[in-house]
Amino acid sequence: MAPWKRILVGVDGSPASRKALEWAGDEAVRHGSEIVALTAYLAPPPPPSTGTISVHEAQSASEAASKAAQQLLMETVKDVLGEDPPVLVQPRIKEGNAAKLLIDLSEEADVVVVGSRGRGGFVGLLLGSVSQNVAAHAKCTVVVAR
Amino acid sequence: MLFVSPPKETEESEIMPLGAPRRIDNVYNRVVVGSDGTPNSLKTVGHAAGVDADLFVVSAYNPQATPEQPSSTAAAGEHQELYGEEAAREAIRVSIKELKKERARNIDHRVVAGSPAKALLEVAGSDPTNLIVVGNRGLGAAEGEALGSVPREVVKNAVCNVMVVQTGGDEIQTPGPGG
Repeated sequence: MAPWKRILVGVDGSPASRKALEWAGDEAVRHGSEIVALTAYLAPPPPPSTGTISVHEAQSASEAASKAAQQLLMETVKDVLGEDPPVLVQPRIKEGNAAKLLIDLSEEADVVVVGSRGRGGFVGLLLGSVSQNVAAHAKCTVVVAR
Repeated sequence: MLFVSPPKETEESEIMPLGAPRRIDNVYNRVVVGSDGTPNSLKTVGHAAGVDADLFVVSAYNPQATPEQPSSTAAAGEHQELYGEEAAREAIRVSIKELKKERARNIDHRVVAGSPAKALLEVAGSDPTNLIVVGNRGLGAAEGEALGSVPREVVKNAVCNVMVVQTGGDEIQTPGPGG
């Protein structure tokens, strides 16, 4: 239980994930915790026209996705916590399923905070699937922020 | 002779200094937690008590005096459905006994007839500065399902933050007859 040493937060740029980051920032200030902020990305699939792409093309597409994720994370952190955050924030960019990555990383965290609903997805279909999944399988306490 | 030169700015640790005091926004008005008196829910209540806010312990019960069927053999510590108001009052009593001993704080409690999720959502109301604390398993976690129906419903419908405490995970899940 609190005070948490390490707070893991999932960031996808959605309003709820900004709330999650805000919560992480407040708790980190209060308890002197560090924040691990994760943004997950998926490498884009090959174009349907050809169905295949060269290794080089796949690599550069994946790199572009990673770069975009990094930019989103940095901008969100700057936006929510300020230019000069009063707490240590470790950014993490990883390829894969956000819920699974958060669950894996939760092993080394004291609390995970996620937004109640993420970006994209069809309403009702994917709504809050990451938060539900993380709440179910995380290795530590989970906070679902709104 | 020993000279100690201060580290250059670039050599300093990546830990950023604690800048100007930051306004802390997420101060909760009320922490709402459910309890059925079982060890698992007492653990959840303990987590809720660690949050700096007024504590509200809720116990929901089935207004039927006795279960229709004898309850399935629940493992020790697992959540139970409470039948009748008296059982709910007893669960509350067990839950706040230890807390009252430990500290003088504002503890409120209520017994509610009906579903635990609905009771938690009702007590938390529409105040976004409240916090609901639930266990991840709880009553209604079907076999193979890691998230109980109560936390699932609360996470889905709450207007405030929800804290899900891992009261039991995959590793201590009791194997079913087939596995």
